[in-house]
Amino acid sequence: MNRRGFVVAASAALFCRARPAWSGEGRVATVVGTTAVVCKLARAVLPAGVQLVQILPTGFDPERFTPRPGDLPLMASGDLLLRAGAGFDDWAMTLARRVQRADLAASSIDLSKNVPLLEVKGRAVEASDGHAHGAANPHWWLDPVNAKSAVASIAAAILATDPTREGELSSRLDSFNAALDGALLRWSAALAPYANRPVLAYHNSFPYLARRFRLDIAATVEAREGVSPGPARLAEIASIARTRNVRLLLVEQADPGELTPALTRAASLIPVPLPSNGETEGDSYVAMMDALVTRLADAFAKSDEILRQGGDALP
Amino acid sequence: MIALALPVLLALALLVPIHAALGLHVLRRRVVFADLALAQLAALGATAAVAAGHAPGELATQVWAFLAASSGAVLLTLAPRLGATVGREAMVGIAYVVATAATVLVVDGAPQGAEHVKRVLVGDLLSVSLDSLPRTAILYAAIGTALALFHRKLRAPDRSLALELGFYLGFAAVVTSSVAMAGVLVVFSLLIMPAVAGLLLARRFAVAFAIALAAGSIASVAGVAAAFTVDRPLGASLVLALAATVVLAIMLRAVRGVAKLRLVWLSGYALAAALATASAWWLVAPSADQPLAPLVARWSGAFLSDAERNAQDDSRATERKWLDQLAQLDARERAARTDGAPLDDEMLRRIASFQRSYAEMARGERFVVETLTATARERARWPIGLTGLFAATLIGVAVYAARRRPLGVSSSNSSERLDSIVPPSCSTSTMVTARR
Ligand SMILES: [Zn+2]
Repeated sequence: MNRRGFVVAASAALFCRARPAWSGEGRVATVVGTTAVVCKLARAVLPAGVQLVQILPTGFDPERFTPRPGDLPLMASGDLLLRAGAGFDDWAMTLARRVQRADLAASSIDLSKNVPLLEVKGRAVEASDGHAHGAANPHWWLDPVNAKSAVASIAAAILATDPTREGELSSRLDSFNAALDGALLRWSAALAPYANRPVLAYHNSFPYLARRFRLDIAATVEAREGVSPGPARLAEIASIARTRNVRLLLVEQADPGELTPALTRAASLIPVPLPSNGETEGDSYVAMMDALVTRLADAFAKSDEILRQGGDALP
Repeated sequence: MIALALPVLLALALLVPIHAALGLHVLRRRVVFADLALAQLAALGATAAVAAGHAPGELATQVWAFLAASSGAVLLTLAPRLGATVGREAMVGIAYVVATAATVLVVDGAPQGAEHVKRVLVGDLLSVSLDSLPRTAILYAAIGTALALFHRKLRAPDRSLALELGFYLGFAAVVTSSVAMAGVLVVFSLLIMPAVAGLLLARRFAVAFAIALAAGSIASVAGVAAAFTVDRPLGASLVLALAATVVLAIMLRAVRGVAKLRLVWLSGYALAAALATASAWWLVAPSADQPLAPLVARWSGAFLSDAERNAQDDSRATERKWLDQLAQLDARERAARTDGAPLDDEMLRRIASFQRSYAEMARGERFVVETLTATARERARWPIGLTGLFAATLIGVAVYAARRRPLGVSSSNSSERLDSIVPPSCSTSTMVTARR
């Protein structure tokens, strides 16, 4: 065998070994999802018999990810890669190439591609680092309507590889959309009394939520994503909180923010940790948003209670 | 602002004295990085406690942290008895990396996720609350009193095992509490830098302690003031302020033995050398980053034609305009969330595509600005580079000449020279007359 023939044979062997889950005829047997939210969305339409693996464990901050050895075989086993996109989980592409699966990276489904993105800044150097929000604001799944289009993208991707599953896919898609529409009415009703009520956010992760439910985010504590603010910024935030009579500080459960304790004291704010990256029991997206909306509505109710009892309940 | 600054200053008032005193002992024992190792061990204990289900602020968590740090204290006590070939610094290093690695493993296994746990362990002075201070004050006062009582014995060359263990346990307790309050970086700086400043300027313990105390206090106030006025992260500002006291101490010590005039010469030569290097760099690679550029921006800008300069100003303004428009679209979307009808998805998509093209156009303008700046520097290559070299040579020669003929004694010098010129002629004349 000449040298070139050997190289071809060796890489073919590598290629075959790298995709053991491949079950012929281009069918998808294993779907790899980057984050907990992506996997919750995928579960809504995944046909029976398709395996779903999640790379980033639930509860870990997706914007500070370091892969572990166990992630390599997980990624290598996939037939389809789903990612949140908008710069949030570009590490998945690197990881796929790392396990000789450039094909997986190239065919990966960017769930944000049909979503109307907010705060678009164009292509930026920092776009590869999710927390820099270099391309656009990547926290799009906090708007339930965007979840619909993401789930539709997943269904379309699976359908493309296996047209025989059309009936199953469309019935699951319909039932997800119906469940979501019902839930959306419920969530809108729960948050309607608090529309236009000013709140603060630590990290800039809630504009999509705010747009859908008409929340007023008076200010974001982090002026630059992922960088702790200095004292003057803190004082400014505290004064905004006082002048606009803001009571709630929305924080991400996975990363509640270094200076949240200082702010809560300086401006008698109530920190509201929201499971914005899917840190909830259960597998469904609707359950996650249920928990998030309930927690937010409860926090609003609690702050109203404090106001009614005569202002400063917090020292 | 005051409400935010007051707890910070009070916390520093507690931290500075105890760390200055401990720092002097630590420097004497040559275990400079011991506090990093102990802090990391404390972090390991706290992480394990949180992973086991305790809340981060709970007493049980602090006990776990202190117990882990105590194991480090025992190691530090025993290390010098293990033989001279294995230094204490080696043990400190081992303890640090082992604790760090173990923390990573524990954090990774913790169900709550990594960042949350890590954030809780490393404090930030801005987050210090007033009601946590009394407890800290009691702890520091107790350990400070013990240090004062035993301070002679602690500095004796042969110290008992029990005394050493007591010292390191106290050290571990202080570090455990202060790292949770101020973070590793600030605690290390408070421990080492004022003590170094004190020991640079004094040999006696009491004097060195007084200097360390003064250095720590001044740097704390300066660091807090700087962070609050220019709005920079507090920890980093404090570290730099403390480092400035060390630099000041080094300068004071350097000046002490040296004649002032010599210092002037040395700095003159240093200036000449720096200027010569920077100018040579401009000659070699004019379009690279130039250290001289901010000083001669106006001059190098003059090498552009009027049209080019206008184009550059235009591009700057246009870039700002595009970025402003991009931000305005964001603001418009934000306002629409609460006022009137929210923007529909189609509108958002249009906004996004506008924003993408604005960002692209702003980048284009930036490119024009940078290209013209590089062009100007290219053209200014010989004039600025050679002038810089000439100025450096002038400074060097001037310093050299002044050194040969110090200014203060120039008049007497010149008269001396006159004398030296006049006598020979006199003497020759006398010689001549003598021959006659
Ligand atoms: Zn983010």
